[in-house]
Amino acid sequence: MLLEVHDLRVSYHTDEGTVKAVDSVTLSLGRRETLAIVGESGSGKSTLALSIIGLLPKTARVDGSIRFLNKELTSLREEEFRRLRGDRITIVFQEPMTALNPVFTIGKFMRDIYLTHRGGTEKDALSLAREWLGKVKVPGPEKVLSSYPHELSGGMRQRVLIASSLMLEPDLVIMDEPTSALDVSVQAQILRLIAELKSQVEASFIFITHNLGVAAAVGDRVAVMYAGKIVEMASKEEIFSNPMHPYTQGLLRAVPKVSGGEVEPIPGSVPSLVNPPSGCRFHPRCPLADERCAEEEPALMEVGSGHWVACHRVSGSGRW
Amino acid sequence: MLVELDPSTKKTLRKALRNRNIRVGGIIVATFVLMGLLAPFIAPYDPTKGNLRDSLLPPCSKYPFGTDFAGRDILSRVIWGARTSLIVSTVSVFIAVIAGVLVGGLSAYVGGWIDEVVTRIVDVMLSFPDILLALFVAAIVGPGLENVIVAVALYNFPQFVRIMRGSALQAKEMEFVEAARAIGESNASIFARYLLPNSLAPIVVHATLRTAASILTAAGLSFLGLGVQPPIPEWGQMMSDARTYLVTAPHVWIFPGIALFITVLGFNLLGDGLNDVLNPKMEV
Repeated sequence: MLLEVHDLRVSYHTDEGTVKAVDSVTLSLGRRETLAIVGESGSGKSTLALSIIGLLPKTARVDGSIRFLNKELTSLREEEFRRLRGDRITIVFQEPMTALNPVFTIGKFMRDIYLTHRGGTEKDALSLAREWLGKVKVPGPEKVLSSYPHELSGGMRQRVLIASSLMLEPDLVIMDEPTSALDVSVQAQILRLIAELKSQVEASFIFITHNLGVAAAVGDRVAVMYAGKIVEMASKEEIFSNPMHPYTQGLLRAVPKVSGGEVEPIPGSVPSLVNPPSGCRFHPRCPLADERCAEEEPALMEVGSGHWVACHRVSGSGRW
Repeated sequence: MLVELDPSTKKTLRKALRNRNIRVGGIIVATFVLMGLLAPFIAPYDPTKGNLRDSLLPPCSKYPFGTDFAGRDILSRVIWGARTSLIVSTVSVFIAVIAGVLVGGLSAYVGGWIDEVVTRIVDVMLSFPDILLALFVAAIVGPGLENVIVAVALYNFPQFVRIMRGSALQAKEMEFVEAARAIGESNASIFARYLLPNSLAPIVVHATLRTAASILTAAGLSFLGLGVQPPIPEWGQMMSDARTYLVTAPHVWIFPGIALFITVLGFNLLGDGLNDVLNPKMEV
């Protein structure tokens, strides 16, 4: 396994109380595998991503274990972590408009990543940058290298950031909603590009999205997060053909279909993470909840090969 | 053109040249700087040596601006005074900018109790009226060119700390700072290459405006006798000397006064113009 997250808990102390942004998350990721993490805003999916790359604010408290390349990341010295970041683990953020330093040209930005981690000559750095701009299908790589971020469109910048994240052949690439800030037509192009690049590189991907359709397009496996917990995790095919958790089923029903038919929103909203509901965190919104759901927290259990669900109504009989 | 400028720089430059404040202020400031730099070559007389037989002569063909009580040529002293003002204002603002940018930037970047302490100290320093703080320092360390520079730098310093801190706090929250961390940049590198260059626009504008204020303050200190000492020619001190002949020989104070007025006006115009160009959001 490339990445093993075990019983990860991330919490923040605020004036209102302790926010449990990520609560007992366990997952693993093999080489060349893509895990899509799906969840609503505030489900803890971005916090999970930031904890893996070690970019949580200092105020965050992290418990549990994150093992990556046989190193324990939660206790890694900052100096050592810095060498991993941008080299072995990279991240693509949601906002391509603000993720680039406005005072650097694209060429300088990409060259610096290379020189920071590899050393070597400027010439090597620039030729690699040029090569990767070609791979992400940026028109006129030479011109883009000498451009400033504000001269490029959002889609172009995201291509540049994707190229930068793959340039040093990392082991793990985290994509935190990389298409959410883009126009729909550009989104489709970027998704196609990512799907294409996946087959060309050796990296594993964690792809974070709030959109089930996007998860289906890029993920090998899909994990569904709710209120800081993974409630269901299975292969892409399994999740869509045989969703077991009522929340996953609700999400699927809430997706508008081209064929028409009713869209059924899930009633209620994401609970507060300061004072989450007792028992199963989804029970106040769950159509199937009973007394047990309100009292006892369901554990994430394997109900089929590679299919994990955290729901009392499933684990009992295998079907509810 | 020898240097190939990128389109956005060209655009900013064109906008700057179209701005009337920048054009007028720029010409005044350029004249002032040239006068200061070339003083030894363009001044007709030695500014420190007078001919007592020519004492307090009104403007004439020999002395276009007249002479002072010691018979020194006022035109030459105004020209050399530009050099004194240039040195005092640029050196003191330069010191204040460097110190203010470092302290303000680090304070914002590090945050926590260090930021808290720095902010309070700056608040206290800013609560003194400008000239009072400079007077205080000048009174302690005594008069003289270097001491005026220190006094004026110290009174400019808290302003740059505050501006830089605010600007850096804003830049710190930009996603590219987090992105820089994500590509493995060190704290020092993020501070120097991401935070500083993105916080400098307001500093440039304020430095220009503070140069004007510093020239005035230095002249004020010299007027009060706490600044540059004779025989070094200095506008404020020249006007102070002229108090005795306020009515009988007005040319002694009028010419340094005009020089001071125009120079300060020039820096203020330039600063306002730069503000319009560099912070287009402020434009009305």
